[in-house]
Amino acid sequence: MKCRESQYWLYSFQPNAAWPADVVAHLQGCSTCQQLQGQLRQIDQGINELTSLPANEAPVAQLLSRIEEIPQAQPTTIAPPRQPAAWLRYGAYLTGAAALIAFGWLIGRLVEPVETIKTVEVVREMPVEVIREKTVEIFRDKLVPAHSQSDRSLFAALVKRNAQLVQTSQSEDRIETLLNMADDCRQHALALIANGPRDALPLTVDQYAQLLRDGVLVQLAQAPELDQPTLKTAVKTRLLRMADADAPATPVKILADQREALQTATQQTMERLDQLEGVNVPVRSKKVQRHEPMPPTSALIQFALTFSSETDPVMKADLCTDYVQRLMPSMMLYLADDAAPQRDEMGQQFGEMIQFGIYRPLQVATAKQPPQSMKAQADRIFQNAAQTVADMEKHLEQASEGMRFGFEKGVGKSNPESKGKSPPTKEGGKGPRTIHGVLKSVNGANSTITVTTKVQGKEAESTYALTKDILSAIGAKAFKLGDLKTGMELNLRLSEDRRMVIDINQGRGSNEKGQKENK
Amino acid sequence: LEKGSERITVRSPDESNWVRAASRGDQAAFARLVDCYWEKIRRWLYGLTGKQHMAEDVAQETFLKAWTNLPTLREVETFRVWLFRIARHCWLDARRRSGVQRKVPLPYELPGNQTGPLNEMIAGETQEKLQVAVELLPSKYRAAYLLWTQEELPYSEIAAILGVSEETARWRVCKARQSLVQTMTSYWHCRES
Repeated sequence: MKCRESQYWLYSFQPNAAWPADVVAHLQGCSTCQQLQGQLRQIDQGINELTSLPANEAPVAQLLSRIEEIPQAQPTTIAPPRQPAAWLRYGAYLTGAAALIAFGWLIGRLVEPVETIKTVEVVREMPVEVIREKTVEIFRDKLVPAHSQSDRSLFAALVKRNAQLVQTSQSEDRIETLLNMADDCRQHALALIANGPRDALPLTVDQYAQLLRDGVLVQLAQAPELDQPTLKTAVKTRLLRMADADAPATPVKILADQREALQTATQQTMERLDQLEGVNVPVRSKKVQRHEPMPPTSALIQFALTFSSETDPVMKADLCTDYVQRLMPSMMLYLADDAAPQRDEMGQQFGEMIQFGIYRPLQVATAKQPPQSMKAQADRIFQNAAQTVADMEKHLEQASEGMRFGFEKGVGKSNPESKGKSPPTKEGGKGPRTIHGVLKSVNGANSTITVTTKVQGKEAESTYALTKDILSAIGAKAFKLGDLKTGMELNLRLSEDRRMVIDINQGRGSNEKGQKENK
Repeated sequence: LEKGSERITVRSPDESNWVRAASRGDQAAFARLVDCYWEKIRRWLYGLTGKQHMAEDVAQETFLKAWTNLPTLREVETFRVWLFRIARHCWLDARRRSGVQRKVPLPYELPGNQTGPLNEMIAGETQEKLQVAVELLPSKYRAAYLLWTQEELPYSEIAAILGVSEETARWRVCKARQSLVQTMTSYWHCRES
């Protein structure tokens, strides 16, 4: 029990015997909370004294004398409203709908058609111009800061997931990332339930449900029909695992309700897995999104949902620019916080969002000769993104030592000409998770391993990074990197992004086996 | 009384009968209701307006409207919420009419149980500071907080009076108290140092 949790009760309710035992225990042992309790009592008493007035009978007497002259209104008849016959109601609905359609058609004929792209640009220009000037200052009052450590952890986890999401190219990976995000939200909600009522709890439960409904189900519906049975099974298995690990029952009604909402969301998603016909991409008003203040976690989730369901690369880049601009102040505040977890990686992940969410789709869209309107739109997005990066660089100059490291990574990664690894493509990123190869060399200083593998009968050299875990595992078995001899046959288990080795076994294997495992 | 997060308010068993009788035009029954609620309404309005005369005028207007419209009240158990809601509307109307928002500060009174000139001075200063802190509160927070602390209404009723959700009502009370503590703590620290 922390002071913050106890203070929630102190500020919202009068102390009494029905308070949770852990809150009462904390209050008895914590001098800070006791002091706050005393201050609150003193303030409440002071307010009561401040608003007390001497008795004054005159206005009451005046009121009662006036009442004698004023007549009362007629009582309302409490007869239940008559329901018209069902056929009449349906008829009225249909007539109304037909009238609306006719009216819309008439308006459509009368008003000159407006080009879609033009309309979109009119809506978008204003906020972009405003945002460019002083991003942090303008957004600071609209930001909903992440208060607790677990809020910050969720924010960090969601940034990481989004950095992965913008690099995915297949439904399978997108679904996995969205499920991971949902799981992050679920675990955050469970942590909040375990720690007592929190303002953020309903929002977190809602985010969880939204990720499953508008994220996972939509991706499943959009996946190729052949892949759907396998994907459904995988999703179902994951959801069952998540449902099994739900929070224990709680006597507090508010918490019990939220816990039930969490379970219902999981259950409903499982039920809808077999009825994907009605699942559609949710329509979102971008205009509303831009003006409403939004907690950073919500912005990250909205981005994930919209980005994953969008197929047009220019629209993807545009969306990503919007959200990057929206999230940048939160990122800077986060990076400036010395207690923020995984601060160093965050800058890099944010840069990856810019690189793979904005520049890469723009490159794809403009690779061939695009139409002039698309080219203009792509140029505008490119300029906005460049402005965002320039803002980051500007803040980097004034940044403290602690936050500079993360920023540098972010700015470095966001460069479209960055020498970093390209995003995993179908050939590279979706290769087998387990590969068999002959050891060529091990570089202890850089923690990398190079193996020769056979792909379609041709030999190829591949270099992978070694994770810290694997280094410690090798050490535990008294099996040092030096023990690996050139020419040894090894089976390497790779990380999700196929960049790092997470497990090494000596022996004969095959890439086909690895591919099976991967499936 | 308060149980867990929800207060259980004990009301006079006769109140429902008075409301029923008053809605049929019984002035004596309405006089009893005025007797019960006059001070509560006046005090709440005084906390919101900061002016005694204005609070009394608005309270009169509230009860007159209540008397006129009492026959339209369907559920007699909701009389208190209904009355406070009328008071809120009357206050908003009065504020709109006057075109100003609380220019006169709440007058403070020295508590009687303090003895000695120094104590009196400190107590007076504390009340003065508290008065400033209350004035700094946004009116929607002040309205919710005063209903909670003076009238000890449950959040469900506060929410119904202010036309917001129960969670919003709790949030407003919470923010009001946080703001008051913040202002007063800095003052207490200064005084101690």
